[in-house]
Amino acid sequence: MWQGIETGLVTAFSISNLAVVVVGCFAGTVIGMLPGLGPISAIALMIPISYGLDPAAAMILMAGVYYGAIFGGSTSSILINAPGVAGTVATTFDGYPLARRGQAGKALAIAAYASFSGGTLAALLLLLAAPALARVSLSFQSADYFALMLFGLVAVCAFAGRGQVVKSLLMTVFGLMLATVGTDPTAGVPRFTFGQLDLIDGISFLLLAMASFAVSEALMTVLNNEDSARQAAKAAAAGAGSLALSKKEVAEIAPAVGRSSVLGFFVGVLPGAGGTIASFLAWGMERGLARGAARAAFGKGSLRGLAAPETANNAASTGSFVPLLTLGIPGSGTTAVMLGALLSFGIQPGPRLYIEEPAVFWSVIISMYVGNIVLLILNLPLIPYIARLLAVRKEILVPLILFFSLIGVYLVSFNVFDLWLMVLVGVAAIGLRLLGLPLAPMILGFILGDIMEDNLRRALIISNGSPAFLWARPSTLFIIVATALVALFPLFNRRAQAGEGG
Amino acid sequence: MARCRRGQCAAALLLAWLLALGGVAVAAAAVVKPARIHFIIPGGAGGGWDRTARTAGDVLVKGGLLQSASFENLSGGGGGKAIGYLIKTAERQHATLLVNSVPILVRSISGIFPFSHRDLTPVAAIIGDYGAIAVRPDSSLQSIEQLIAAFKRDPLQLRIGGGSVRGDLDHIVAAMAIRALGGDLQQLVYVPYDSGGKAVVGLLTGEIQALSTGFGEALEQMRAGQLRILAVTAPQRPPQLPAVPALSEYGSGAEFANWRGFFGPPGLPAELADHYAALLQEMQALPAWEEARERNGWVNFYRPRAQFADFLAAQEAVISALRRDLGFR
Amino acid sequence: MGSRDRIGGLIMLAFSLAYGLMALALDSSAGLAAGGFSPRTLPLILAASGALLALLLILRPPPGTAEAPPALQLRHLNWRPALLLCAVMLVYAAIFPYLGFILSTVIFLSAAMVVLGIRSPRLLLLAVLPVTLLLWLVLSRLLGIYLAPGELLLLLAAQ
Repeated sequence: MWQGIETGLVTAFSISNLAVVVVGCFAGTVIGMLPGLGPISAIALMIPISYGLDPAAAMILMAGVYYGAIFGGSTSSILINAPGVAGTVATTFDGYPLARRGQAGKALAIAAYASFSGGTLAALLLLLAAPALARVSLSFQSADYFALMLFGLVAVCAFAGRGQVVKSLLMTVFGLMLATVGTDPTAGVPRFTFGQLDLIDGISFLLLAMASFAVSEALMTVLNNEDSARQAAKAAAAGAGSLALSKKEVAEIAPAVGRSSVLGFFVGVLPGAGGTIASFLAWGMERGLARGAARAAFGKGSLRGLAAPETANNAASTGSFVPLLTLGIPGSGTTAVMLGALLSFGIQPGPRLYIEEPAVFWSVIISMYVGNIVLLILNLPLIPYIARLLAVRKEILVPLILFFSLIGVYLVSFNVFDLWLMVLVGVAAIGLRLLGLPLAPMILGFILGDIMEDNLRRALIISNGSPAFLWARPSTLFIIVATALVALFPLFNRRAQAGEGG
Repeated sequence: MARCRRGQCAAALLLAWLLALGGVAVAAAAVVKPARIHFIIPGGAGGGWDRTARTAGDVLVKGGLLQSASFENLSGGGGGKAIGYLIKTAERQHATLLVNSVPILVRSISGIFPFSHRDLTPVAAIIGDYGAIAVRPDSSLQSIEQLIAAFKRDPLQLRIGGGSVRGDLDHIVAAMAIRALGGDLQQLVYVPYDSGGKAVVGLLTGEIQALSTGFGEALEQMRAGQLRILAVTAPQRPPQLPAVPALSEYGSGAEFANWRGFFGPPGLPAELADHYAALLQEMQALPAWEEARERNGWVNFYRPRAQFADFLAAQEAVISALRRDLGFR
Repeated sequence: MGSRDRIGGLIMLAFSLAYGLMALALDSSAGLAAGGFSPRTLPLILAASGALLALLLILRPPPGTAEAPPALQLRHLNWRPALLLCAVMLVYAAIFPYLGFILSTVIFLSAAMVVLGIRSPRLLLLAVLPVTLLLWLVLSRLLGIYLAPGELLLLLAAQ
């Protein structure tokens, strides 16, 4: 194994390969900043280019592009509340408020460091446990996935803060309803499509995210006639050291980073779960673990709230390489494209790869990690300039944000119907915000809705219609019990607080 | 140049810009001759349709059979958006080909599409993938006969999964297999997954006991030691695995190919359609195509024009009948 | 105007009921049901849950404090530019298939900026054209993405 790692390191750090990584990271960041051209498209676009390179270099190029695109997605999430990648939705919760307070530079820096730490810790875990993990990948069945998704949804609502639990649950249900629009995942029947062929595939995540986050935010700033973000950005640009983190701040986020890495990695190891679920779970977990003022800060610009999902997201990406390389099973759209790429290089992922060709296995892993490192080195110096983007006049920035959101969605589907739908959803989102209804549970419900229903129905088919699948396997039972405990949390909380007051 | 008021100069400049841009756009859209083909892909970048069309286009250009090729991704409506678009703009799409596969049949049968393959001009099918039934390598079922015996004993314990929704491709192949082997397909417990890959995971975790998937994918997984193939829906045994029986050895008509091919717009003149079909045939003889085919694990399956149309009609009948027997409308 | 919670709850209640009614119209024939679940099972469960939660929101007393939940404030909002922007976006969606990417985007961005208060044609040109052209170059040349020229232009070309 160590020889394999050594070969991997030597390959990865050759001059030409380093150059390739740099190019890849740069290209990836630029592509990723344009919402809609996420990692999947970026990597797919790179595949023809990579045919001319040798496999190691090609994998490194794709690694650079992939991590660059995720960072670009985090950037647009933080700066303009436009999460182009599902894994960066949770980043907007605390990243965007930080940017509005004039701390965009710090937020972007935290995102970069957190991502890097997540990737590093996950790579260590991978090193230690790769073979054993292959078995973990295969231990989850449909019933377990359903339970895990349910847990995620309940966790985000349970810790929502006083008076907000009912609203969060309501919006979660709303998100689940939106997820049912389209074709039924099990029987292939159209639902709630109003006879429109354009809705057969459902509402795309990108459309919902862009319209309800970016478009509604841009319109809200117009409605509220405020320019506070710009004033704050100007002040920050004039001020000094926007990237620096004080020792106290580092100490504050370090434990969150540690926990989120582990959580993210193991969630990533499960095929089909990925960065998105990991980021939401991490955010929910950190909020649940925080106390008092720290907990109240979540959603308003908490440093921990930003670090947790960013770490988990990246750790999950590393984790998702376990099923990809040891079993040849892609856990997400991105890894599916990478699998195609690996196959076209003649690398056959599977249990035999790890045993018979450890050099190849480790080269791939290390190449991916090198991309992670280079991204940090490349992008940190760029952050102050990127943060300055917010200083552009509102009259120019808002139209540009609207344009990027609209065109970003269009570039995925090339369907003008989506543009109409975006305006509708954007206006509806403004309505929801004015009514004080939280959008985060809605988008989580939407993302998880499909997967939940899919797994639930499969579990029922397998158990022949009986609900026994909820407790038939120990893993399922464990998660269900955890969900129930978390669900009861608000009641305990209220009682404890009432007790204190009374 | 005479001095003009600030607003006027700017307005004139703006107008000049817009006209220039308009001119560029018009030139770019100039009439396309048959030496160039525009491919419409009903799905996103990187998907199966996308790879097929782009590979075909690239090989045709590199092999000198075409001057240039352009590609347009037009996803949406489960692939129906592109079909609808081609039908609507048919008059100016005489140098356009649409790539598609079995879903065009299933979705028009199930009523999701308001149109069918008869609303387009079939040019040629070029590649195909037969269906395969597979189990885990450590399964107690070593042959297809043992599988059907186990099925007849207790259908609830022999769950077959696949990467399509109920009533679609993998379900149909599984049903076809069960019927050919003499089982009652009403008893079939089919477990749907999002994709072939997820279905393989389901097999490995033990959720399902058998898998219905494409032979290309099954072969790859078999080489990685993940599963054992028990039968295929090909007309004869696969050359790579002569020990694996073809289902047609057990029941006549148990053949099914998941083809991928190209269609032209309705009203495409026959000479043009024949020309494209001939181009595609020549393409398959090129070494660049052979290399791409090998790399992607595709199998050549050439059916031009009238043969293609007949093949589609026959497959449509088979799919309809099976779906009715399974309880779908 | 009533409290935010009441109005929000009422709207969500109406939505849940409408959603539930549409779910009842869904097909639940034998071939589609499996494992006791048909395509309409989950939607019906969601409609019931949504209605229940919405009722809770409407009827619930305020969380422990003496104040009423905040009322819905609409008057102080800057409606005109926001609504005009929505209109501009709708126009963009309408002209896009006919005028193609470049022309439509130029019109959209210019109109949006004018709505927000920019009057100087020079500033408009400077802000709009470079972005549009740069993006068009990157998308169509560098990334090879096909951006259809626009029906009107194709019609002109065919003459």
